Amino acid sequence: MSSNIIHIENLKKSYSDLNRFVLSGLDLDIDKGEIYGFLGPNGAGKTTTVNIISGLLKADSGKVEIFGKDYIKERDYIKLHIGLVPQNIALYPELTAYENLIIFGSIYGINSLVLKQRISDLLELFSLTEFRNKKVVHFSGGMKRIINLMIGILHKPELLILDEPTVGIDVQSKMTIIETLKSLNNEGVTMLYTSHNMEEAQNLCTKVGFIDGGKLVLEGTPDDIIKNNPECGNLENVYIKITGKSLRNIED
Amino acid sequence: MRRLTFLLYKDLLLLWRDKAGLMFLFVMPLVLVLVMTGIQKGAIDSTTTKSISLTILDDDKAEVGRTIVSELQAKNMFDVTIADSTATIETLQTSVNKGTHMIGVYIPSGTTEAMYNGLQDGIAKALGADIDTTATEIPSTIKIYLDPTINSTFRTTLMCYMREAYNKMEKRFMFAAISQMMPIGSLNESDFQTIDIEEVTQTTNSLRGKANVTDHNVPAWTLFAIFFIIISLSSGIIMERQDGSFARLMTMPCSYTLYLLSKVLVYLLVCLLQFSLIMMMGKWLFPALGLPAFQTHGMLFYCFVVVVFSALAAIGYGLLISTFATTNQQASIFGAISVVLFSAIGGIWVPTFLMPKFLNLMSVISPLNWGIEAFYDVVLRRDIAGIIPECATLLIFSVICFVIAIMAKGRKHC
Repeated sequence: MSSNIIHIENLKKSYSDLNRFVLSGLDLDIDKGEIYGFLGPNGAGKTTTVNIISGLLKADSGKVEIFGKDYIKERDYIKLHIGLVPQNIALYPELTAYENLIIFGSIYGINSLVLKQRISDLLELFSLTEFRNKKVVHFSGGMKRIINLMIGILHKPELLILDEPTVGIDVQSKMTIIETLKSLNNEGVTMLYTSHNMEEAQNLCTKVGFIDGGKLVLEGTPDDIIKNNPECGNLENVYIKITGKSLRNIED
Repeated sequence: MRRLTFLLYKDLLLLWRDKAGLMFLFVMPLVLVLVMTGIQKGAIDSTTTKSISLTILDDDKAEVGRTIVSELQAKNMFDVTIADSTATIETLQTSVNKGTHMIGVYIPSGTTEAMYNGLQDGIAKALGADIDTTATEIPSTIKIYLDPTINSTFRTTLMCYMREAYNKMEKRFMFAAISQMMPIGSLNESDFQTIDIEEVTQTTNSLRGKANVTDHNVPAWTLFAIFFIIISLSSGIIMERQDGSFARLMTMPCSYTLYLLSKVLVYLLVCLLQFSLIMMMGKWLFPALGLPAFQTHGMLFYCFVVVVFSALAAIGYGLLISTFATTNQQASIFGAISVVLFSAIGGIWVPTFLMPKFLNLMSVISPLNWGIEAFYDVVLRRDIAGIIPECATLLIFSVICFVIAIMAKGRKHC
């Protein structure tokens, strides 16, 4: 039996207003326990891939299996076992941190007592207990990002999808988030992680894949990739070597 | 069920925290009902209270003049002043020009005599006498001077009153002239049977008489408020879509149908509360302010039935707008304008029978028209079966909106 948590074959997706394929035959396999860094320039197809895996978008063609199950036919099962930390701060700003957590947690169907305990533990872990009854609208960017992450991990998912989870926050919040992700991975959580921060990816990910033009162009462990490109010295230089220096401004 | 409970909790909390939105949903309709009912009551009262100042210069000083004066004084519509003995036709015109009086009536000297002589000559001629009727001198006409701001309703009413007074005298003079000429003794008006005209307001149940301003305004502005929820509803949905919380919910074990069901239930509750508040104001506050009380005569349950179907139509419409609008501004502007248009052609502002024919025909496409007709069936016509077609139409409209919204979402998403 395959240990793939995510298996994608020849995935294609286009948008009518862009008049081109954002994904043009993507193949991707993510094994259990990996932190997979899904890296690429703007418009490369990262967010589209994340949205298809999360069930927010339908692909034009191709095969997508999550936990060995079809991403559309067995959506209900998949939804229960994945967690999403979107790039947007997807919270209700007029609700308190606790209200956001209890509402989203309840949607996952977590037992009320278990959920309350889990929320208390997470607030404690991130030192946010004293802010639990404050409206999110008054939180700093870093605090909002942490609540955003907490909602994604409340139900202890098997697969955690992180779409640029540390963008636009201070170093302290970033460190807290990274440490938490490493700790979750140690507990067995598989992660699909997108970012533009190559240094962060190099430190965090067990495997990375570069996507460009809707296809995977390079894949391997950060160490292997750097080893195979000795003139680059680090992941960021390999990334530039592979994807080029030209500006990419198209949202995918 | 637990998921729905927490979606409801979320939607109610979001609504509760939006104080401006709550004012918009609950206070604005109350103010609208109060103001519009007050204004319309004032307009109607102006035809039954002495609100129009009228001056009469009676140079006739005989029966015609006296009758016209007493008939106009008897009508509640006019505040009648008799011009003093020094007044002339010029001063009468000036008083109307300057706005001292809205209406001036001039009855020339000799009007009574001319009327009597004219009738006598006409009757005598009809009986075979050889009389030259052209020889009778006809005095100048009774003249009515009007302020330009007097509207056509008042003009028509005044002319009706004047003709009524004139016809009464003509009849009386005719009887007198015939009595004088014929050898059959005196003729009394009371000896002649006349046909009465009875006004009957048609209702299935004869409990109600004719409609008053409250009977129209309470349901009408309730419907307006119900349909105005689309702004709050569509803005809320678009905001959730823009900040990503909707997408997040869709990645969770939460179906789009469940998400919508929560919105439907919350806004249904809002609509029921809106009607309850407006109805209570109509029932208890209106009489204290001198306005007619809103009465349901045991038909309250059916009023709520109409509210539920109207609310479903409004929620469906709001959902449809939120599906196709990409920004809050688009949804708010399109939503507000479309509801105002639907309410205008639907008979919320003025009854549809007063509209030009093409607008009257268009009223059938307005969901607010279906709602107000259903309310009329309950409150005025007392025809419970009559609400079935309107409620069915509201429900079909609602279902179509829901289906389009769900299909549009389904095309893009899993």
